[in-house]
Amino acid sequence: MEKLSVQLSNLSERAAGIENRANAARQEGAEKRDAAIASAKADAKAKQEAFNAQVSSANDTARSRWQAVRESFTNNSQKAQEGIKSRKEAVDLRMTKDRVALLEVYAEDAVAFALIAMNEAEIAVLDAIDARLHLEDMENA
Amino acid sequence: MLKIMPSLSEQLNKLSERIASIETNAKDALQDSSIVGEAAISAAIEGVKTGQVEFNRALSSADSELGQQWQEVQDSFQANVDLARTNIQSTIKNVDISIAEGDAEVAETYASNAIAFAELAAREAEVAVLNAVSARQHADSLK
Repeated sequence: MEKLSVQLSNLSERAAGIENRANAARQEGAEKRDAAIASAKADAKAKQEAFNAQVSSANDTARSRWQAVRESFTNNSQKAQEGIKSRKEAVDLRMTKDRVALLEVYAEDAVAFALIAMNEAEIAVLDAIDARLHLEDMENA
Repeated sequence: MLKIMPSLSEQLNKLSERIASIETNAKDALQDSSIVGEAAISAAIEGVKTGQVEFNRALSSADSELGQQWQEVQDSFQANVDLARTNIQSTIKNVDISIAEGDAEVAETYASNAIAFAELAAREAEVAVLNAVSARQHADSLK
């Protein structure tokens, strides 16, 4: 279980830090905010590659299911980013407000979805602990 | 105060609390096998249902295209979760020790992948939050 514990710890640190980094971004100038976004994007991309590598070691059925989920998730993100990018250079206040509203809705949805993914991870961890303890009970019987 | 922040801040707090509780539940489970079982897992499943209700509520306020895309992601994710959970639950109390060993490994691999995906989702959420904060600052500067 150490591996799962380490992963949970990493996830905890990442989740706890999001609000702090968002608050910090609000205090910074545009240049530093852009740097923070670029850094977060690079982290997300690295995580995506790590996820792909990890899932590729799963059996065929599990791998294809996770790949389908990941592709759906990535496609959604890319489509949203394209839609948002097309309005990025807006200097008109009304268009800018539209873009802000879109970004804020997307951010809320992304956080809500991350919560669901974390809840599912919790169930998976509990199931895995249950399965391991069941095995240990059998070995000790 | 940014327009989005009360809602987003509340959700981010939930995110932190949720993951903290996952760690606590996992540690407790390792220390006391009696807490692992229907009650703990049922409580976690209730958490998922609540999260799904909130997510669907959030989608209802999204524009139709964005909402539809998120719905597709959620459907794909849910289909994977349901199938994996059904498989794991159907074999988790196997009485053959060699099969039980394989089942434990499958459950642990699935949990590891689920954590990795949750982290991926959290990082995407972070990028989205930072983009939203940046856009709001830009809009405020135009006023």
